[in-house]
Amino acid sequence: MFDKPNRVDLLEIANEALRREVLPHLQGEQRYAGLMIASAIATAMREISGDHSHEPVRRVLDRFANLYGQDNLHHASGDGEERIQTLNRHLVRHIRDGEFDEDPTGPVFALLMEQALQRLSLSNPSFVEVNEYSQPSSS
Amino acid sequence: MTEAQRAALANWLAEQAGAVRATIEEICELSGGAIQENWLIRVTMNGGLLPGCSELVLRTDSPSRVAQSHSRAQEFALLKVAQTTGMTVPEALFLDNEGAAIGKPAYVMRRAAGTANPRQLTRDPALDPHRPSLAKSLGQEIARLHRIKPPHPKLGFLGPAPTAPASQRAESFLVELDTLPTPLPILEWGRRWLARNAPASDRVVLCHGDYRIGNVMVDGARITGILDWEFASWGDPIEDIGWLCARCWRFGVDDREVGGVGARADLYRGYEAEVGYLVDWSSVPYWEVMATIRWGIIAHHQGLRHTSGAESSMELALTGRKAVEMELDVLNQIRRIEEGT
Repeated sequence: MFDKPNRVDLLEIANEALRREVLPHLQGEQRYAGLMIASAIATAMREISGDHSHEPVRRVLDRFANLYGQDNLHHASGDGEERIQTLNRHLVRHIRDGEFDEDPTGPVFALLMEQALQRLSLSNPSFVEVNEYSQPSSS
Repeated sequence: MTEAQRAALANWLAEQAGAVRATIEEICELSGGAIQENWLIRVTMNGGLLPGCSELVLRTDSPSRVAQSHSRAQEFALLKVAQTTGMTVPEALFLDNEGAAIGKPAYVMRRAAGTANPRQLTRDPALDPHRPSLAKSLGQEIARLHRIKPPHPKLGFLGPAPTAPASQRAESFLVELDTLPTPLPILEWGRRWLARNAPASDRVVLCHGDYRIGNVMVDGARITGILDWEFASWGDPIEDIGWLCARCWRFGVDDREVGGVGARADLYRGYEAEVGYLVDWSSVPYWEVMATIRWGIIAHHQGLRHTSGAESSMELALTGRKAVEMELDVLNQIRRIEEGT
Protein backbone atom coordinates (compact mmCIF):
# COMPACT_ATOMS: atom_id res chain seq x y z
CA MET A 1 0.00 0.00 0.00
CA PHE A 2 2.73 2.45 0.94
CA ASP A 3 5.81 3.34 -1.05
CA LYS A 4 9.26 2.33 -0.01
CA PRO A 5 11.10 3.55 2.00
CA ASN A 6 8.36 2.88 4.54
CA ARG A 7 7.57 4.81 7.72
CA VAL A 8 10.17 3.00 9.83
CA ASP A 9 12.83 3.52 7.14
CA LEU A 10 11.97 7.22 7.06
CA LEU A 11 12.17 7.65 10.82
CA GLU A 12 15.44 5.74 10.83
CA ILE A 13 17.11 7.89 8.22
CA ALA A 14 15.66 11.07 9.78
CA ASN A 15 17.19 10.16 13.12
CA GLU A 16 20.50 9.22 11.54
CA ALA A 17 20.67 12.53 9.69
CA LEU A 18 19.77 14.39 12.88
CA ARG A 19 22.52 12.66 14.85
CA ARG A 20 25.19 12.88 12.14
CA GLU A 21 24.51 16.20 10.45
CA VAL A 22 22.66 18.40 12.93
CA LEU A 23 23.54 17.43 16.52
CA PRO A 24 27.31 18.01 16.18
CA HIS A 25 26.59 21.66 15.39
CA LEU A 26 24.35 22.24 18.39
CA GLN A 27 25.38 23.39 21.84
CA GLY A 28 23.82 23.99 25.23
CA GLU A 29 20.05 24.20 25.27
CA GLN A 30 19.73 23.47 21.56
CA ARG A 31 21.83 20.36 21.87
CA TYR A 32 19.64 19.21 24.75
CA ALA A 33 16.55 19.80 22.60
CA GLY A 34 18.21 17.89 19.73
CA LEU A 35 18.97 14.93 21.99
CA MET A 36 15.37 14.86 23.20
CA ILE A 37 14.09 14.87 19.62
CA ALA A 38 16.44 12.01 18.69
CA SER A 39 15.26 10.06 21.72
CA ALA A 40 11.58 10.62 20.87
CA ILE A 41 12.10 9.49 17.27
CA ALA A 42 13.98 6.37 18.39
CA THR A 43 11.20 5.39 20.80
CA ALA A 44 8.45 5.98 18.25
CA MET A 45 10.43 3.96 15.71
CA ARG A 46 10.80 0.96 18.04
CA GLU A 47 7.12 1.05 18.87
CA ILE A 48 6.01 1.20 15.24
CA SER A 49 8.33 -1.72 14.39
CA GLY A 50 6.96 -3.72 17.31
CA ASP A 51 3.28 -2.98 16.55
CA HIS A 52 2.68 -6.25 14.72
CA SER A 53 3.90 -8.44 17.54
CA HIS A 54 1.29 -9.84 19.91
CA GLU A 55 4.00 -11.32 22.06
CA PRO A 56 4.17 -8.59 24.77
CA VAL A 57 0.38 -8.68 25.28
CA ARG A 58 0.33 -12.48 25.37
CA ARG A 59 3.08 -12.62 27.98
CA VAL A 60 1.27 -10.16 30.24
CA LEU A 61 -2.06 -11.99 29.83
CA ASP A 62 -0.30 -15.24 30.75
CA ARG A 63 0.86 -13.67 33.99
CA PHE A 64 -2.68 -12.47 34.71
CA ALA A 65 -3.93 -16.03 34.12
CA ASN A 66 -1.29 -17.25 36.52
CA LEU A 67 -2.51 -14.86 39.19
CA TYR A 68 -6.28 -15.07 38.76
CA GLY A 69 -6.76 -18.34 36.85
CA GLN A 70 -7.49 -18.50 33.12
CA ASP A 71 -11.25 -18.88 33.73
CA ASN A 72 -11.42 -15.59 35.56
CA LEU A 73 -10.09 -13.46 32.71
CA HIS A 74 -13.17 -13.70 30.48
CA HIS A 75 -14.90 -10.67 31.98
CA ALA A 76 -12.20 -8.50 30.41
CA SER A 77 -13.08 -8.18 26.74
CA GLY A 78 -11.68 -6.14 23.87
CA ASP A 79 -8.37 -6.34 22.08
CA GLY A 80 -5.17 -7.15 23.94
CA GLU A 81 -4.32 -3.67 25.14
CA GLU A 82 -7.90 -2.98 26.24
CA ARG A 83 -8.08 -6.25 28.14
CA ILE A 84 -4.88 -5.45 29.98
CA GLN A 85 -6.24 -2.01 30.85
CA THR A 86 -9.44 -3.53 32.26
CA LEU A 87 -7.54 -6.20 34.17
CA ASN A 88 -5.19 -3.55 35.54
CA ARG A 89 -8.19 -1.61 36.90
CA HIS A 90 -9.25 -4.69 38.81
CA LEU A 91 -5.69 -5.37 39.90
CA VAL A 92 -5.29 -1.85 41.29
CA ARG A 93 -8.45 -2.29 43.36
CA HIS A 94 -7.28 -5.65 44.68
CA ILE A 95 -3.90 -4.17 45.63
CA ARG A 96 -5.63 -1.34 47.53
CA ASP A 97 -7.87 -3.86 49.28
CA GLY A 98 -4.76 -5.62 50.52
CA GLU A 99 -5.32 -8.90 48.66
CA PHE A 100 -1.61 -9.39 48.03
CA ASP A 101 -0.33 -8.16 51.38
CA GLU A 102 0.70 -11.62 52.54
CA ASP A 103 2.88 -12.35 49.51
CA PRO A 104 3.89 -9.08 47.86
CA THR A 105 6.78 -10.66 45.96
CA GLY A 106 4.80 -13.72 44.79
CA PRO A 107 2.77 -14.13 41.56
CA VAL A 108 1.57 -10.51 41.65
CA PHE A 109 5.20 -9.42 41.55
CA ALA A 110 5.88 -11.61 38.50
CA LEU A 111 2.92 -10.01 36.71
CA LEU A 112 4.02 -6.46 37.57
CA MET A 113 7.60 -7.20 36.55
CA GLU A 114 6.40 -8.60 33.21
CA GLN A 115 4.41 -5.44 32.53
CA ALA A 116 7.37 -3.21 33.35
CA LEU A 117 9.72 -5.24 31.16
CA GLN A 118 7.35 -5.34 28.20
CA ARG A 119 6.74 -1.60 28.32
CA LEU A 120 10.46 -0.89 28.66
CA SER A 121 11.53 -3.25 25.92
CA LEU A 122 10.19 -0.68 23.46
CA SER A 123 10.59 2.65 25.23
CA ASN A 124 14.06 2.16 26.75
CA PRO A 125 15.57 -1.30 26.17
CA SER A 126 18.90 -0.25 27.70
CA PHE A 127 17.14 0.22 31.03
CA VAL A 128 16.32 -3.48 30.96
CA GLU A 129 19.72 -4.59 29.68
CA VAL A 130 22.07 -2.50 31.79
CA ASN A 131 19.52 -0.98 34.17
CA GLU A 132 20.46 2.52 33.08
CA TYR A 133 18.17 5.52 33.38
CA SER A 134 17.58 7.29 30.07
CA GLN A 135 19.55 10.41 29.26
CA PRO A 136 19.07 13.24 28.64
CA SER A 137 17.07 13.60 31.76
CA SER A 138 15.03 16.51 32.98
CA SER A 139 17.23 18.81 35.01
CA MET B 1 8.80 39.53 27.25
CA THR B 2 7.38 42.61 25.50
CA GLU B 3 8.89 46.11 25.69
CA ALA B 4 5.96 47.25 27.82
CA GLN B 5 6.47 44.36 30.27
CA ARG B 6 10.17 45.13 30.40
CA ALA B 7 9.49 48.78 31.18
CA ALA B 8 6.97 47.84 33.87
CA LEU B 9 9.50 45.44 35.37
CA ALA B 10 12.23 48.13 35.40
CA ASN B 11 9.89 50.58 37.14
CA TRP B 12 8.88 48.00 39.70
CA LEU B 13 12.52 47.08 40.42
CA ALA B 14 13.46 50.75 40.87
CA GLU B 15 10.55 51.26 43.24
CA GLN B 16 11.35 48.16 45.30
CA ALA B 17 15.04 49.00 45.54
CA GLY B 18 14.39 52.67 46.19
CA ALA B 19 16.51 53.56 43.18
CA VAL B 20 16.21 56.69 41.06
CA ARG B 21 16.20 54.55 37.95
CA ALA B 22 16.61 50.92 36.93
CA THR B 23 17.80 49.99 33.45
CA ILE B 24 17.40 46.39 32.31
CA GLU B 25 20.52 45.60 30.28
CA GLU B 26 19.53 42.05 29.46
CA ILE B 27 16.74 39.64 30.29
CA CYS B 28 16.53 36.00 29.19
CA GLU B 29 14.64 32.93 30.28
CA LEU B 30 16.67 30.31 32.14
CA SER B 31 16.22 26.61 31.42
CA GLY B 32 15.27 23.86 33.78
CA GLY B 33 11.96 24.99 35.23
CA ALA B 34 9.24 22.49 34.38
CA ILE B 35 6.88 24.13 36.85
CA GLN B 36 8.18 27.67 37.25
CA GLU B 37 9.68 30.15 34.84
CA ASN B 38 12.99 31.73 35.79
CA TRP B 39 14.30 34.87 34.12
CA LEU B 40 17.85 36.14 34.42
CA ILE B 41 17.93 39.95 34.65
CA ARG B 42 21.05 42.10 34.29
CA VAL B 43 20.08 45.45 35.68
CA THR B 44 21.82 48.73 36.43
CA MET B 45 20.35 50.92 39.15
CA ASN B 46 21.07 54.46 40.21
CA GLY B 47 21.06 54.65 43.99
CA GLY B 48 18.87 52.59 46.26
CA LEU B 49 19.57 49.20 47.82
CA LEU B 50 21.35 47.73 44.77
CA PRO B 51 23.41 50.52 43.23
CA GLY B 52 25.35 49.68 40.09
CA CYS B 53 25.08 46.51 38.05
CA SER B 54 23.36 43.39 39.50
CA GLU B 55 22.43 39.96 38.27
CA LEU B 56 19.01 38.96 39.55
CA VAL B 57 16.64 36.07 38.94
CA LEU B 58 12.91 36.60 38.61
CA ARG B 59 10.80 33.58 39.33
CA THR B 60 7.19 33.23 38.26
CA ASP B 61 4.55 30.62 37.41
CA SER B 62 4.81 28.66 34.18
CA PRO B 63 1.73 28.25 31.92
CA SER B 64 0.33 25.18 33.67
CA ARG B 65 0.70 25.10 37.42
CA VAL B 66 1.09 22.06 39.62
CA ALA B 67 -1.64 22.08 42.23
CA GLN B 68 0.40 21.00 45.23
CA SER B 69 3.30 23.40 44.75
CA HIS B 70 3.61 26.58 46.81
CA SER B 71 2.81 30.05 45.54
CA ARG B 72 5.60 32.53 44.82
CA ALA B 73 4.80 34.40 48.05
CA GLN B 74 5.12 31.19 50.06
CA GLU B 75 8.36 30.30 48.32
CA PHE B 76 9.66 33.77 49.13
CA ALA B 77 8.83 33.22 52.81
CA LEU B 78 10.57 29.81 52.75
CA LEU B 79 13.74 31.35 51.28
CA LYS B 80 13.75 33.97 54.02
CA VAL B 81 13.34 31.35 56.75
CA ALA B 82 15.99 29.06 55.21
CA GLN B 83 18.38 31.99 55.15
CA THR B 84 18.09 32.36 58.93
CA THR B 85 19.42 28.82 59.44
CA GLY B 86 22.73 29.59 57.76
CA MET B 87 21.83 27.43 54.80
CA THR B 88 23.23 28.73 51.52
CA VAL B 89 20.26 30.08 49.55
CA PRO B 90 19.94 32.86 46.99
CA GLU B 91 19.16 36.12 48.78
CA ALA B 92 15.42 36.79 48.43
CA LEU B 93 14.98 40.48 47.55
CA PHE B 94 11.53 41.64 46.41
CA LEU B 95 8.13 40.00 46.24
CA ASP B 96 5.40 41.01 43.80
CA ASN B 97 2.33 39.12 44.92
CA GLU B 98 -0.12 41.23 42.90
CA GLY B 99 1.56 40.84 39.52
CA ALA B 100 2.43 44.56 39.24
CA ALA B 101 5.73 43.88 37.47
CA ILE B 102 4.89 41.28 34.85
CA GLY B 103 1.21 40.57 35.25
CA LYS B 104 1.49 37.49 37.45
CA PRO B 105 2.92 36.81 40.90
CA ALA B 106 6.72 36.77 40.95
CA TYR B 107 9.69 37.44 43.16
CA VAL B 108 13.25 38.50 42.60
CA MET B 109 16.36 37.06 44.20
CA ARG B 110 20.06 37.54 43.72
CA ARG B 111 21.55 35.18 41.17
CA ALA B 112 23.72 32.42 42.67
CA ALA B 113 26.99 31.86 40.84
CA GLY B 114 27.95 28.63 39.06
CA THR B 115 25.81 25.90 37.58
CA ALA B 116 23.08 23.48 38.64
CA ASN B 117 23.40 21.40 35.46
CA PRO B 118 23.27 17.72 36.49
CA ARG B 119 25.24 16.47 33.50
CA GLN B 120 28.11 18.77 34.34
CA LEU B 121 28.00 18.13 38.10
CA THR B 122 27.85 14.34 37.72
CA ARG B 123 30.36 13.97 34.88
CA ASP B 124 32.94 16.77 35.01
CA PRO B 125 36.31 15.13 35.88
CA ALA B 126 37.56 18.50 37.19
CA LEU B 127 35.13 18.02 40.10
CA ASP B 128 36.49 14.58 41.02
CA PRO B 129 39.09 15.69 43.61
CA HIS B 130 36.40 17.84 45.27
CA ARG B 131 33.61 15.25 45.39
CA PRO B 132 34.12 14.28 49.06
CA SER B 133 33.86 17.91 50.16
CA LEU B 134 30.87 18.52 47.88
CA ALA B 135 28.97 15.52 49.31
CA LYS B 136 29.86 16.63 52.83
CA SER B 137 28.57 20.15 52.10
CA LEU B 138 25.32 18.66 50.79
CA GLY B 139 24.92 16.99 54.18
CA GLN B 140 25.75 20.14 56.14
CA GLU B 141 23.41 22.34 54.13
CA ILE B 142 20.33 20.17 54.55
CA ALA B 143 21.10 19.54 58.23
CA ARG B 144 20.92 23.31 58.78
CA LEU B 145 17.43 23.45 57.30
CA HIS B 146 16.35 20.48 59.38
CA ARG B 147 16.89 22.57 62.53
CA ILE B 148 13.59 24.33 61.83
CA LYS B 149 10.82 22.64 63.78
CA PRO B 150 7.07 23.14 63.61
CA PRO B 151 5.27 25.36 64.19
CA HIS B 152 6.93 28.45 62.73
CA PRO B 153 5.33 31.92 62.76
CA LYS B 154 6.26 32.62 59.12
CA LEU B 155 5.28 29.20 57.79
CA GLY B 156 1.64 28.84 58.81
CA PHE B 157 0.74 28.01 55.20
CA LEU B 158 2.52 24.66 55.55
CA GLY B 159 -0.38 23.51 57.71
CA PRO B 160 -0.13 21.25 60.74
CA ALA B 161 2.93 19.01 61.02
CA PRO B 162 2.25 15.35 60.23
CA THR B 163 2.15 12.97 63.18
CA ALA B 164 3.17 10.02 61.00
CA PRO B 165 5.07 11.51 58.02
CA ALA B 166 5.71 8.26 56.12
CA SER B 167 2.14 6.92 56.36
CA GLN B 168 0.66 10.28 55.55
CA ARG B 169 2.90 10.71 52.52
CA ALA B 170 1.96 7.25 51.26
CA GLU B 171 -1.71 8.07 51.85
CA SER B 172 -1.40 11.27 49.83
CA PHE B 173 -0.27 9.28 46.78
CA LEU B 174 -3.75 7.72 46.51
CA VAL B 175 -5.23 11.02 45.35
CA GLU B 176 -2.34 11.54 42.95
CA LEU B 177 -2.88 8.09 41.44
CA ASP B 178 -6.64 8.57 41.22
CA THR B 179 -6.29 11.71 39.14
CA LEU B 180 -4.32 9.86 36.44
CA PRO B 181 -6.37 8.38 33.60
CA THR B 182 -4.66 4.97 33.43
CA PRO B 183 -4.38 2.38 36.19
CA LEU B 184 -0.78 2.04 37.41
CA PRO B 185 -0.59 -1.24 39.31
CA ILE B 186 3.18 -1.11 39.92
CA LEU B 187 3.00 2.26 41.65
CA GLU B 188 -0.12 1.07 43.53
CA TRP B 189 1.74 -2.01 44.71
CA GLY B 190 4.74 0.09 45.76
CA ARG B 191 2.48 2.56 47.55
CA ARG B 192 0.79 -0.27 49.44
CA TRP B 193 4.22 -1.51 50.52
CA LEU B 194 5.13 2.00 51.73
CA ALA B 195 1.93 2.20 53.75
CA ARG B 196 2.52 -1.20 55.36
CA ASN B 197 6.20 -0.65 56.12
CA ALA B 198 6.16 2.98 57.25
CA PRO B 199 8.91 3.68 59.79
CA ALA B 200 8.22 5.83 62.83
CA SER B 201 9.77 9.29 62.58
CA ASP B 202 11.72 10.48 65.59
CA ARG B 203 11.94 14.05 64.26
CA VAL B 204 9.54 16.21 62.25
CA VAL B 205 11.27 19.20 60.67
CA LEU B 206 11.19 21.58 57.72
CA CYS B 207 12.05 19.52 54.63
CA HIS B 208 13.06 21.03 51.32
CA GLY B 209 11.02 18.49 49.35
CA ASP B 210 13.09 18.62 46.15
CA TYR B 211 16.65 18.43 47.46
CA ARG B 212 18.59 16.93 44.59
CA ILE B 213 21.23 17.64 41.99
CA GLY B 214 19.64 20.06 39.53
CA ASN B 215 18.39 22.24 42.38
CA VAL B 216 21.82 22.91 43.89
CA MET B 217 23.98 25.67 42.43
CA VAL B 218 27.68 24.84 42.54
CA ASP B 219 30.54 27.18 41.67
CA GLY B 220 33.82 25.32 41.33
CA ALA B 221 33.27 22.84 44.17
CA ARG B 222 31.43 25.23 46.45
CA ILE B 223 27.65 25.25 46.96
CA THR B 224 26.34 28.74 46.17
CA GLY B 225 22.61 28.25 46.54
CA ILE B 226 19.87 25.71 47.21
CA LEU B 227 17.02 26.40 44.77
CA ASP B 228 13.39 25.46 44.10
CA TRP B 229 11.45 25.64 47.34
CA GLU B 230 8.02 24.93 45.91
CA PHE B 231 7.62 21.51 47.55
CA ALA B 232 8.89 22.30 51.05
CA SER B 233 6.85 20.79 53.88
CA TRP B 234 6.98 19.50 57.44
CA GLY B 235 8.23 15.95 57.33
CA ASP B 236 10.75 13.30 58.25
CA PRO B 237 14.24 14.69 57.59
CA ILE B 238 15.34 11.38 56.06
CA GLU B 239 12.87 12.02 53.23
CA ASP B 240 15.21 14.73 51.89
CA ILE B 241 18.13 12.29 52.13
CA GLY B 242 16.21 9.54 50.30
CA TRP B 243 15.23 11.95 47.52
CA LEU B 244 18.83 13.12 47.07
CA CYS B 245 20.26 9.58 47.02
CA ALA B 246 17.56 7.64 45.10
CA ARG B 247 18.87 5.98 41.94
CA CYS B 248 16.42 7.92 39.77
CA TRP B 249 18.17 11.16 40.75
CA ARG B 250 21.74 9.99 40.06
CA PHE B 251 21.53 10.94 36.39
CA GLY B 252 22.94 7.62 35.25
CA VAL B 253 26.02 7.78 37.53
CA ASP B 254 24.87 5.00 39.82
CA ASP B 255 28.07 4.33 41.74
CA ARG B 256 28.04 7.81 43.23
CA GLU B 257 25.12 7.30 45.51
CA VAL B 258 24.63 10.94 46.45
CA GLY B 259 22.85 12.26 43.38
CA GLY B 260 25.57 10.97 41.06
CA VAL B 261 28.07 13.44 42.55
CA GLY B 262 29.57 11.85 45.64
CA ALA B 263 29.72 9.12 48.27
CA ARG B 264 27.08 8.44 50.88
CA ALA B 265 29.60 8.26 53.77
CA ASP B 266 30.69 11.84 53.05
CA LEU B 267 27.09 13.08 52.97
CA TYR B 268 26.30 11.41 56.30
CA ARG B 269 29.52 12.73 57.85
CA GLY B 270 28.67 16.28 56.82
CA TYR B 271 25.15 15.97 58.20
CA GLU B 272 26.26 14.50 61.52
CA ALA B 273 29.01 17.11 61.93
CA GLU B 274 26.37 19.80 61.56
CA VAL B 275 23.75 18.35 63.94
CA GLY B 276 26.38 17.18 66.43
CA TYR B 277 25.16 13.63 67.00
CA LEU B 278 25.05 10.27 65.21
CA VAL B 279 21.96 9.81 63.05
CA ASP B 280 20.08 6.55 62.55
CA TRP B 281 20.21 6.09 58.75
CA SER B 282 18.39 2.75 58.70
CA SER B 283 15.24 4.18 57.09
CA VAL B 284 17.08 5.63 54.07
CA PRO B 285 16.30 2.64 51.76
CA TYR B 286 12.61 3.02 52.63
CA TRP B 287 12.68 6.72 51.78
CA GLU B 288 14.50 5.96 48.52
CA VAL B 289 11.55 3.76 47.54
CA MET B 290 9.26 6.65 48.54
CA ALA B 291 11.33 8.96 46.33
CA THR B 292 11.17 6.62 43.34
CA ILE B 293 7.40 6.20 43.63
CA ARG B 294 6.90 9.92 44.08
CA TRP B 295 9.02 10.75 41.03
CA GLY B 296 7.20 8.04 39.05
CA ILE B 297 3.82 9.61 39.89
CA ILE B 298 5.10 13.11 39.11
CA ALA B 299 6.50 11.89 35.78
CA HIS B 300 3.09 10.47 34.81
CA HIS B 301 1.48 13.79 35.76
CA GLN B 302 4.05 15.72 33.71
CA GLY B 303 3.32 13.50 30.72
CA LEU B 304 -0.38 14.18 31.24
CA ARG B 305 0.25 17.94 31.17
CA HIS B 306 1.53 17.41 27.65
CA THR B 307 -1.05 14.88 26.42
CA SER B 308 -4.00 16.78 27.94
CA GLY B 309 -3.02 19.80 25.86
CA ALA B 310 -2.41 21.97 28.93
CA GLU B 311 1.20 22.59 27.94
CA SER B 312 2.76 21.18 24.79
CA SER B 313 6.37 20.27 25.56
CA MET B 314 8.98 17.83 24.30
CA GLU B 315 10.45 17.52 27.78
CA LEU B 316 7.11 16.86 29.49
CA ALA B 317 6.23 14.28 26.83
CA LEU B 318 9.51 12.39 27.34
CA THR B 319 9.24 12.62 31.12
CA GLY B 320 5.86 10.88 30.90
CA ARG B 321 7.48 8.05 28.99
CA LYS B 322 10.33 7.88 31.50
CA ALA B 323 7.96 6.96 34.34
CA VAL B 324 8.18 3.25 33.56
CA GLU B 325 11.90 3.37 34.39
CA MET B 326 11.01 4.46 37.92
CA GLU B 327 8.37 1.71 38.03
CA LEU B 328 10.91 -1.02 37.29
CA ASP B 329 13.20 0.51 39.87
CA VAL B 330 10.43 0.40 42.48
CA LEU B 331 9.99 -3.33 41.85
CA ASN B 332 13.72 -4.00 42.14
CA GLN B 333 14.22 -1.85 45.23
CA ILE B 334 11.36 -3.39 47.18
CA ARG B 335 12.37 -6.91 46.17
CA ARG B 336 15.89 -6.27 47.44
CA ILE B 337 14.57 -4.96 50.76
CA GLU B 338 12.11 -7.86 51.12
CA GLU B 339 14.82 -10.40 50.34
CA GLY B 340 17.21 -8.66 52.71
CA THR B 341 19.93 -8.27 50.11
